[in-house]
Amino acid sequence: MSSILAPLALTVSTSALLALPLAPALRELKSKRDAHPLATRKDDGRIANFAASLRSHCNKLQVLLFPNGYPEENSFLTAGESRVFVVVRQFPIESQIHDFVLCLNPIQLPDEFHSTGDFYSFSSVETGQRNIFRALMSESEIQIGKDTKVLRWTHAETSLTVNENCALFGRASANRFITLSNHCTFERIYAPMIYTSSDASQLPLRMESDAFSKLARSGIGRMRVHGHAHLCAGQQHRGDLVSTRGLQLDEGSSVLGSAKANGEVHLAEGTTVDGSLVGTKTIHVGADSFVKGPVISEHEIRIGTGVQIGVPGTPTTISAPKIHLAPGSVLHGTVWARVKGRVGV
Amino acid sequence: MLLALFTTVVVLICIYTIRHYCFTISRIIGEQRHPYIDVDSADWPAVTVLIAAHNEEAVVGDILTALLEVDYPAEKLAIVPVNDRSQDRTREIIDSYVEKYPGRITPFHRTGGKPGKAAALKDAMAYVNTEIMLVFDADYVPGKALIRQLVAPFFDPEVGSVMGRVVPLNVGKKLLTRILDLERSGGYQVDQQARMNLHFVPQYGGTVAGIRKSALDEIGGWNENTLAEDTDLTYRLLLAGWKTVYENRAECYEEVPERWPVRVRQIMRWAKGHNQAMVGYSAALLRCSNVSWWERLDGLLLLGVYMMAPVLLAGWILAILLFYLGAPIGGGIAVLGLAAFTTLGNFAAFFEIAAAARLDGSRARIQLLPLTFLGFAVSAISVSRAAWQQFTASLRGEEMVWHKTERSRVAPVALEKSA
Repeated sequence: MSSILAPLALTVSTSALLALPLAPALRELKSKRDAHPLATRKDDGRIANFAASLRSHCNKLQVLLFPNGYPEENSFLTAGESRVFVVVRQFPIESQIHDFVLCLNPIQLPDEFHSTGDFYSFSSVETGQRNIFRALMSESEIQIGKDTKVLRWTHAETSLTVNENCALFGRASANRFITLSNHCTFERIYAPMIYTSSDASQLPLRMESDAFSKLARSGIGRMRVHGHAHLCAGQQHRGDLVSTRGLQLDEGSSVLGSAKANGEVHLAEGTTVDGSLVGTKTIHVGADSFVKGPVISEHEIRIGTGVQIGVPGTPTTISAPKIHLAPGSVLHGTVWARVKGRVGV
Repeated sequence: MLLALFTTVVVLICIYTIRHYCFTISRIIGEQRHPYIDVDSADWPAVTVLIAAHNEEAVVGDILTALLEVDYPAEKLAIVPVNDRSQDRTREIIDSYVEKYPGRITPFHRTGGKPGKAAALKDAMAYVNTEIMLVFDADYVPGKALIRQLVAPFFDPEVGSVMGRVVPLNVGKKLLTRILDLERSGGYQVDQQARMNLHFVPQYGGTVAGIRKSALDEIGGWNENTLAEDTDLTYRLLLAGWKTVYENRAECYEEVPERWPVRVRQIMRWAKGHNQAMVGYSAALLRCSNVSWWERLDGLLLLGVYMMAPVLLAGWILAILLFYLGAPIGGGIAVLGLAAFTTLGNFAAFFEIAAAARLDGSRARIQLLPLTFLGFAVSAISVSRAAWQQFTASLRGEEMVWHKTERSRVAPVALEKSA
């Protein structure tokens, strides 16, 4: 090799070696395959969005399926590529349906019924025991039988009643009220009123106190306690209360404001928090207590019997990875357990 | 003497390298903290949204349109564009919105006073009648659920301020915007969220952010004598026992600089403001009993973050000097070399950005990682220059001047297409 070519070859090969790691970068810079802005959240996150979407789909389907009026018998119909099982009267029906189900009238489902497609009803739905649904929606009320599972979401336009041992994965909502029973599990539920047992509807409901409204108007103020905060029985604290460690409210005590603990929170029987309640560890809300809400824990929330969270007309949120609700309580708004929510003694 | 200085530099760089690794590992395998993300229903409080606007004719219409469409009770949302001495059509555009949407927008046209965002916000407080206020720069485009996401943490009575995530909108424009997109990902998706995970000190960033008015009043309001009112506020709140919360899912589009001179001016302003806070609050933070030891450590490291560029450059110069002076620092050079590599190299800041890109689910853009070295190099020099200017200005007793970041947007954004 000539004396000129050798250093030239060395320079070229060295440059190529140095440039090699940059090749993918330069390629991406030129081709711009991934140069769009990151997608941010567009929806409003409302729990009933799935229901609204299915309702809209059903309204469009109706036009396609029933151009000449409703059928008189249960039948499989097609609309485009969708196959729809239209239910006009009470089943006999096979135990499993894989198509979309559209019910025109009130329906009572048999035990062991499985629906792997979406199930939509213009009227009320009463499921059997040990049913499984992918998604279940009614424009009226829904009663879910014992040991039933809903895998993605359920929505009732009026009320949703859930019997013992049911599992509600994903979202469950109703526009009026939800009644849960013992040993039910859930993830995200919403209704203006949520009863954790059928007798909870008898609980006398409290409204926001006048004293708190007055205080809120004049400026709540805040007290920060270094260490563990403790209110003795019957004691009242006016203003927000923040503890750098745990928080304990003894029987009948109250916070006329919000409370926060960087540790465990223990509310004994008959306590009141007129604002929000926040804890980094477990929050225990004792029997017959009242929290206006929201109630937020980074670990677990345990709510006792006779507890009221939120006030009528002002829904709030109970949020924690794990939530345990005792029967006999009334909650207003959203209960969101990222890992598992459970009703039980 | 030189050897002692050199050893200090090596130790500092190692500390920051470990910090980067801790954050990234927390983000990849640690427990993620989003305590307020599920607050879905609530008695939402009244909120004032302040839009800082100085010569923002190119962008102010977009943010007003977006805010008018957010999912928040309209009767509880006061929109206050703070038109700070604009010379362009900003006033005209704001007034056209006021006329078109009666009762929804309360404009504040500021015609005089001290320049700077903090000074403008201070004057705008006369328009704030709510306990919670949110602050946006005019080039941001909030999504529908953003206001609720930023307000939710204020149900916690310990929270004084909230910071959302900034997402660049004009990513594909230039090499610079692509580099900044990756840097922002690293800064928010990993750095801020890791601080949130670890109960450290997430930083209030001055935009896509919220403040509790009673907390602001307690610490004496806005400090108009700072170039970085955001860092200043973060530390004053921390010292007074208030928490800043980072909400990673409260995302908002912003326009990043498209030209290098604009970027250089922006980062120099940030560096100077941050260094001001470092001088002002380091000692107070060390003495403060309101703050945990972990928060003190993280807070101090965060305060010193813009000093690391000149420290690194000084380390390189010291290493060369000591080498030619024949000082016995063989191992030290090796450590500095490794630390320099891991700070500006593949295994710390780069590792953080790579982790962020993966968490964001973006794939091809990660290939640009080697080019982010260019961004780091420009930042290191600019930040060092800023520190030097600040040092010399303080010797001369000169006051620092606030510079607005220039916008490049020429037409309203079309988010559906871009996302």
